[in-house]
Amino acid sequence: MAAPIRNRLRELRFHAGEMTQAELALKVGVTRQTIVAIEKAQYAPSLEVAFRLARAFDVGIERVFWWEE
Amino acid sequence: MSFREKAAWISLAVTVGVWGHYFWKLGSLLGQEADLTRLFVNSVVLSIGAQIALQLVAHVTTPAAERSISDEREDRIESRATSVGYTALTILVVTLALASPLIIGGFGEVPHDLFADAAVAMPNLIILAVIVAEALRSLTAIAFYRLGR
Repeated sequence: MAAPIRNRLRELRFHAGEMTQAELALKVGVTRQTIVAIEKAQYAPSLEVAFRLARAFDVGIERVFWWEE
Repeated sequence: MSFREKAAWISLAVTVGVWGHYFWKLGSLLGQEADLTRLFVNSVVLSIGAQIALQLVAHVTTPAAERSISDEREDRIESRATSVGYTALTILVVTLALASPLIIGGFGEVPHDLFADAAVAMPNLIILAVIVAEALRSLTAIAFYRLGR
């Protein structure tokens, strides 16, 4: 079952000049496979990684993630 | 595929390949005069050699930046897989301990059965328990890596 936490990583990567998953992974300090899993909502990252992702796009965490009822 | 997923595949392949061959060979030597210690030592050497060679291939085929990453999702997967492997090992060893009177008593129905000799049977059953637990650990890790969680 997918995590109820949704995200707009794909959209944010697009607006960041089509940043690749590998580039984002390197910025955040996780593997590319983890970025893939987060984007597909298969994996809910820790708070620390969530903040790192938000910082990579220079936005607030709530711009990246939200809880889907 | 990440470096740690490759490592899980390598562990599974070597465990099943080398130790599968060991137990198949052991089974075929039932009731014969054979140097089982040599067979075991060869399997250990082959297992270590294959692991080192395949890990080197995985090392070369994975970018350096990716190899050095300590990924929380992968840490969690490895931890869950280790828990499954450890539980399996505990169950198998306890089962063996409970079944030991039967094993030490021998499987007397077959006169020249290799496993009638408890000195051969017990160590090999313990090795089998370790091999099954390790294969389960690797399989669990691979399943989680494939599922993305």
